Amino acid sequence: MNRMRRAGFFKSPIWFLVPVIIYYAAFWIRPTISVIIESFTDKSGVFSFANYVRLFSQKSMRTAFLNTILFTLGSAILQFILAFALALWLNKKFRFSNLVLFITLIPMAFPPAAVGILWKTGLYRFGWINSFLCSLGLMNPANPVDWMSFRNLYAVILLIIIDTWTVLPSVMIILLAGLQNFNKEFEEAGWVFGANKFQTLKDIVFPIMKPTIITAMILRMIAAVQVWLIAVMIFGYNVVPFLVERIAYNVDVITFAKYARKDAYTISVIVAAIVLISVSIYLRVSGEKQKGGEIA
Amino acid sequence: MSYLKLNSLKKTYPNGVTAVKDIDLEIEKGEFVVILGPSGCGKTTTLRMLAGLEEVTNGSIILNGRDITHLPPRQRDISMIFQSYAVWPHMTVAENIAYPLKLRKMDKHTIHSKVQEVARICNILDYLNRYPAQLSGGQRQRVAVARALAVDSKLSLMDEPLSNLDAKLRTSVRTFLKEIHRNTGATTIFVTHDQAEAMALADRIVVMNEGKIEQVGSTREIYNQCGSLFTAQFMGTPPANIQKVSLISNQERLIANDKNAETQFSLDLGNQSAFPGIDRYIGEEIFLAIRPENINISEPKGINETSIEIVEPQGAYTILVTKVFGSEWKIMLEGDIDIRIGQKVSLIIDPGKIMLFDAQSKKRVNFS
Repeated sequence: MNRMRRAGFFKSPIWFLVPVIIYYAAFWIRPTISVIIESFTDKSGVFSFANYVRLFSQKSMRTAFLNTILFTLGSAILQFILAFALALWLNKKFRFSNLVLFITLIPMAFPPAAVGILWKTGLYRFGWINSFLCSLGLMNPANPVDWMSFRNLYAVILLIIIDTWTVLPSVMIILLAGLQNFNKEFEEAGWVFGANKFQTLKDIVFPIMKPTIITAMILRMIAAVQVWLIAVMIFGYNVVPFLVERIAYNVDVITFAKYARKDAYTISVIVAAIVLISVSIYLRVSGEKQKGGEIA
Repeated sequence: MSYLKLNSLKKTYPNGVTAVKDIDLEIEKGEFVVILGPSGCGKTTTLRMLAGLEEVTNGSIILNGRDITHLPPRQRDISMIFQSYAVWPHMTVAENIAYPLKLRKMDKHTIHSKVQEVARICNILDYLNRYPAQLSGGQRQRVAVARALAVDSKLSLMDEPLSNLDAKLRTSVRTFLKEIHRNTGATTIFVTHDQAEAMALADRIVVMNEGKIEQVGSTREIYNQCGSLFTAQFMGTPPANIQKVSLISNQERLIANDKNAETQFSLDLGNQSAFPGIDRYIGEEIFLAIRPENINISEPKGINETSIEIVEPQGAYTILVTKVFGSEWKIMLEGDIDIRIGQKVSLIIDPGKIMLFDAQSKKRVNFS
């Protein structure tokens, strides 16, 4: 009896999970736990909020916090509106829609470093953006704008625009996939039964597309909270602070400063908390009450 | 002036394909008209032009004296039942029915009583608070019907609404639709590729093929008085037996010969006087069509002799397969026929039931 039970234990399919459990324990859970512990202890290893208190007393950290929130909200809203409009347009299958789709996808192929260089060459006083604006007659060549001198809110807005240029295709492609699965007759029923184009979009297309929209927006929000590379590529470290930029700054630039490591760990925990909280708020606000089965 | 009028309606897609070529059709108020045809014949495109979901390339649509050719769908005062039902998945049954009424700015009380009324007619009162995903295909279909009924439209359009239902449900929903039509008298245009559906439902059938109307008529006319070879081929299960033959006249009797004369078979069609106006086709090639149920058999008598090759009993009737002019012809006889394979028989054909079609124009040449 006992032997049989033991044989059953060793034959249990649970064992197939062992590799993945070991992997997660070693490379995910352990480092996560040690980061959390590090963030809540002082130099001597005693529990304390000292790291958090110190960080939030820094002006650059408070700016980073504010910038990250502005960036996340701004890019999420702008990208959703543009991506949805673009997806609706491309879904119409007009004559050259495949060519247009191909062109819109190009920015996705650029690595962030290349995007940084591309835009940076445009942002200088004699860069391509100013030449372009001059050739359109929108700018006086005698008085060019120095985009690189932008700081604070203006710098954040500039980064939102650059980020949108880069990631718009990835948001758009998720929404487009959703629209292509969308049964056109739902929309047509709306028109036939008396709704105009806007009412159909608002009352029928958006609600049915909601699962797809939520997926796209969550992916975007997580990526937006973690913005840093594009800011560093364009403006350099410590100019337009973001939360994750602060981590990289502590780890890469001021590596041997007294609290560099502690600060990096603590900001990591803050970023993770922000991502979790904002995603759960978003899920709650978007009122996910799935009716089960066969949506769209 | 008829209620709905289609004047040389035409649809050419941007890729150059012309789906509908010059359709002229007049429909009276309260009629149930079925547009019937094989896939790709332009029937759905025609319906979608009526709904305003497809732009009209040429021609006009007049509904109740108003030109609606270029109006957006919402201004046409129509309702529609879609092939996929298109019951909105994020609204309950009641919300689905009420949404079009809300758009018409009706007050809450009127909407509520209207929803109750049509839900009772369609027998979905118990499901009003459910979501479509919780309903079966047949129930969703009823919701789609209720939603269409609620808006009291001038014209009711149905785009193959039964094609997603299983065979058993299809006949019961068919009866239900006919009942609804009898009670409401709504002018209805119903599109299908299923001739049984068309014949069961229609006051008039419009047979379409390759973007053109082949024939318009009652079920009886369409079935028995086929105006063209296409209609003869398309209507009936099994379809009419069709053969290209050359006609000769022999002692006042009309004889059909195999056009290639490979088989020595010749079919006696009966007295030439039964085919007025046939003279000019003597010696010419012509299409001959006879429905399986219009052929009878007798003991071999020396004329129209052939042998039975396959027997398919169906309970209420029996289908016999025989070789005529070297091709398989079907014969449908009432009841359970006791017959052996290989048995010699003579075919008996009522000349009045024979349909002859011009070899070039494929139009009917004899009308009885």
